[in-house]
Amino acid sequence: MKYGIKVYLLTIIIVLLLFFPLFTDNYMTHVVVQAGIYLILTWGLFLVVGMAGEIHLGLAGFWAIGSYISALLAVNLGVPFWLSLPIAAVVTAFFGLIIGFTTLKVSGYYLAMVTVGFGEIVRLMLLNWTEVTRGSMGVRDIPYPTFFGASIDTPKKYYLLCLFFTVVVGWVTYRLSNSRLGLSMRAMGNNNLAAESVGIFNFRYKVTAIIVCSAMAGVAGSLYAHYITYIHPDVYSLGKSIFFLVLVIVGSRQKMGGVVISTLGLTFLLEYLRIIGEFRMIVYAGFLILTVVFVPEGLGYVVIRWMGSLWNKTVQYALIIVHQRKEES
Amino acid sequence: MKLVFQYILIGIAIGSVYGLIAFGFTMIYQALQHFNFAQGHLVMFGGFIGLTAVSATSGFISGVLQVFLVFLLTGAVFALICVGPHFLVHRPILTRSEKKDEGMALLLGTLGVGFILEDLAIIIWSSEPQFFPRIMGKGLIDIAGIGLPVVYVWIFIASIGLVVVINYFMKFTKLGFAMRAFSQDKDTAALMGVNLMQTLYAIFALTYVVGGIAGVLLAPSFYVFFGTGFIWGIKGFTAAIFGGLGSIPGAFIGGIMLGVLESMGAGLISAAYRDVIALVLLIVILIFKPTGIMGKKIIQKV
Amino acid sequence: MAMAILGLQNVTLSFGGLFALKNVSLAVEEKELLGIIGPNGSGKSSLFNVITGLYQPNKGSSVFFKGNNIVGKSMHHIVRSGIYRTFQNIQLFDRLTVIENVILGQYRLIKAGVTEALFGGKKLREQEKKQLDTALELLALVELEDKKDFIAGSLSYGDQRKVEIARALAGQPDLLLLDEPAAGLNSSEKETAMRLIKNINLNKKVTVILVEHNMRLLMGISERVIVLNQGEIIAKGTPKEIQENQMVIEAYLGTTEH
Repeated sequence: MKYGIKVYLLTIIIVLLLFFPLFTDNYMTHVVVQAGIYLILTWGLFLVVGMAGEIHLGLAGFWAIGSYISALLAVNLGVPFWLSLPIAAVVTAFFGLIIGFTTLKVSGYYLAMVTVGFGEIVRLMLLNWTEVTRGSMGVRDIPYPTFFGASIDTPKKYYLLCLFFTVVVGWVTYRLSNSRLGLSMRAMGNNNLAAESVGIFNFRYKVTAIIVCSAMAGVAGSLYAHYITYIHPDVYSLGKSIFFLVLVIVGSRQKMGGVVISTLGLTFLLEYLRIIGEFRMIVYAGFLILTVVFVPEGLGYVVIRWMGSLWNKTVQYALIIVHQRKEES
Repeated sequence: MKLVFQYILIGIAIGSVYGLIAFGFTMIYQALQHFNFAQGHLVMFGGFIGLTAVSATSGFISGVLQVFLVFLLTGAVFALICVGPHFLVHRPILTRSEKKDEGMALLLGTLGVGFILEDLAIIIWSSEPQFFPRIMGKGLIDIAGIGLPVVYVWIFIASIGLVVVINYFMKFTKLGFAMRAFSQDKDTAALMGVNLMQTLYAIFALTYVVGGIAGVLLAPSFYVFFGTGFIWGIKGFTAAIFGGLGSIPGAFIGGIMLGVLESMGAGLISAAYRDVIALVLLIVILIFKPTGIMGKKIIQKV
Repeated sequence: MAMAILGLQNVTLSFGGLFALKNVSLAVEEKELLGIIGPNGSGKSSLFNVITGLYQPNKGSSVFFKGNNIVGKSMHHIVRSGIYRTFQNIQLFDRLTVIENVILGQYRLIKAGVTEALFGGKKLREQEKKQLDTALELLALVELEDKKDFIAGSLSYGDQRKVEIARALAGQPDLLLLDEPAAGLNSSEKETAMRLIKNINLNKKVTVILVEHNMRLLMGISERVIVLNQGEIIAKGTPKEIQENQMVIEAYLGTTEH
């Protein structure tokens, strides 16, 4: 086999996922699309927080830049989605470069505060620079993407679009984290000094992580804008940035699969638990405190590890059965 | 010109409260080299507790006595509120045997505390912004020909008063001494008979009390609203960095400087960009002079 | 006559008013095993920190490596030119596995960029396999092969030191700086460590500078010894000469370790 069995399994899962919308209603699909967009964001954050080991509390700001660039290009200049998305990604990545450069001077808590500051400045600028961003009115009537003439205007159609981008981003995240680059990043995140002493130029990897994360945020921003078709600065709040950080911490800082668990899990939980309404934050804080105090490697990590051992046991069991059958015949 | 002077005076008053918030950050940093990310939320919550304290006391007293009682009640409540987070979050994280990622864990744990405070505020009071009654003096006072609302003078006096009280407490009481010893060198402090666990609680409790009272002081000028937690935190943090994390007087000076700059910026440029000023200041300081005005340089020993 | 691979001239390091190193000048010849001893606080670690670029020495100091002045260069830059070191308080990637630590030691010899990560194909996989094999060889050298997949932070102190040495070797250093490699080891581990270092110097032809507190161990394997006291060199010579040097004996008066 050229690729491991896990790759084949994953391909089968992805193919099956293509048919998912046939079995569910619009609302559920809508939640899944939302989760998919969030997943693109949290995978990017995973690279910065999990691997490079920095606290990033300004992701919503980058997400906003992606959304607004894509939306304004489409609404003001009629730029089609398939062009406005890459442009948005590049512009957002550029802002990532700027923030990345600050890591030359700051890290740890200080960097965290720089990202907070950035996120909030973005939100406030979007809110107040009315001539360009339409301020508190938000941007309306953002056009749906079109695919060979067909408009992608329902949750189920958007699901497929979103699935495509999620798979691509997932592939990029996987390749980056399972490479020598990923190993170097994790080394740097683990011990800055040791990393330097083997010749790693820490700055390079911190900037790379932030730029890639920002590009992904730009993609997610564009996807979001053309789905919801109305964006407003309040969406891109510090609270959202914290939400994304929590998803990475609760999921896993080591394995990208853990982040999938936490993102899907918490998005669904918070959506369907709108009933508890006021207690949302307490539930949410509860997960956070639970993870941080008792399960620091991440709840998602624990789930993935459990799934992994379940898989191993299944394989072993299957081999035993096959062996027994052989002996019987 | 007169207007500028008024901005400066208001800035000093508000800034003195920022200094109190900064004190909270600096105190925890000195003791543990980490930050309490719920500090700003304590300020927010303080506003609400203050509201309740005011309505509870409005029936039978008024004036200076009422103000004093409101502060006392708020302080007492916050000293008690500290218990929950301390035993659920601070202690377990700080007494873990593996000291890895302590900082990140504490950051997120206290963030969780902040969220819970937000939600409690919504549940107990309301998600609507509330106005804080003017119990600290009405009308204007004439300072060199400028009309300054009296409340700002009282706010400033209250802040300074609290600073004096804290200073006295730290220098002349047994517990204060223990807290200073703890911050300087935990191990030596323990050898000298300081009960580390109790002192740790006292340190947090003090920052909770100060945060709460700061909330009462800021409430009259800004409305009481659950969403303001982070903004106070950011401003307090900025002030703390401004003044240099190693020094407590620096925290207050940083606070006042931030207050003045913010006030002038908001008055002269635009009120809407008030918070942006604090944020830009924060980023600029972090990048160019992270040790602040009065801070000390830390040399890593390898 | 062997060439001087490392040369220090008038190296002074001070923090505020405190002098960690005062006018230190020395030359290290290729492939030699140089020992540096001195009482606590004499500047031994500061010396390593200055050579590797962690600390910048005062103006007027020069550090020449293979003929180039490396003062002012950043640490990772200096490492990439061939100087590797271990730390007194062990700096491992404690969350990564042992084998990952040693693979990372080869960093300056591998490509770890975005293009390789995303588009690397068969050739890259082959290269990575070679890196793995090299790492395994080095682990065999320090007798830690069977613990290759253990998380580095979970190993015993002595084993962690071995991993650090293996990692430093993985970079194919021209110059290896070992900072108190025997600290925290029991007596048999100390002997093993010293034999290993001698082996590395002789067979792998790596120039080694060894800092040790323990005189007996250091004298046992060094060809030449330099003695530091309060930031200054007070003696240079063969182990025999140093042991009979009056100033050295005085500097160590009161120390119980021999």
